[in-house]
Amino acid sequence: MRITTVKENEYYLIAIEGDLDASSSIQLDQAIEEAVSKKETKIIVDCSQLEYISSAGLGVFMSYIQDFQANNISLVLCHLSEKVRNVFQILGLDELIKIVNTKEEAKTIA
Amino acid sequence: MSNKIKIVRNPENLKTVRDFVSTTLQKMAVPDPEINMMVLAVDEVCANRILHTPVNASAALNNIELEIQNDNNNFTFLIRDTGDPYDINSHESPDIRKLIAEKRKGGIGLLLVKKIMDSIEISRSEPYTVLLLRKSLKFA
Repeated sequence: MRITTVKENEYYLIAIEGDLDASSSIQLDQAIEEAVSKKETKIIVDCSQLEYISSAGLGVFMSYIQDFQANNISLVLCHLSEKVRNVFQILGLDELIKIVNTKEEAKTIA
Repeated sequence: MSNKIKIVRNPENLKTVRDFVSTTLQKMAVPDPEINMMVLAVDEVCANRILHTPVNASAALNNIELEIQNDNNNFTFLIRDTGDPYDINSHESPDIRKLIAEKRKGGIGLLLVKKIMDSIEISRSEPYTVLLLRKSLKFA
């Protein structure tokens, strides 16, 4: 798995490429931690190249929901494939995490 | 066609497990959405075995074996290793909102498995722990 980050105006973009599983989820955790340490408040995760997600990946997103709500940090996921989105839906996490179709949409609600 | 694979217990090998399950089920003409769900369930169980059961002292036994059987679209995934038995069925399903409040990163893997599979059986046959995940599908 590969993660790249880039700043676009006030948005902090994290792009995930490959499989997000028990062996790689720590990289996503570190990328989000880094955004938090940089005081970023509008974080967009581009999942267009994300091919697979397991509970380890879901768990990383889940663990930030509470703190982000308390600190007005926005986390929005975009460009999920149907396969990846289905995994969020199994446990209803798609209703607890902001998920939109495109990066442009993500920017409007971040 | 061999429906068996053996991997060394290492999270780096989960991708190999997923590719094997996916390829095997594709050859059995299983539709993609069902394949994706069963790949996820097997991945979760193998990750759980690798990360949460003690490693056997003998490197020769430090493997996970997976076998896929299909009897008229009744699928059985046999997962065998030498880790300690852990009864998934006695695992209390966590409340997602509680996990979020506790900022937990783990705890939902087995919940996913239970949602996807019809049944999970676990047994011990020294020196092995054997898990049987079953799923019946209806497709043309």
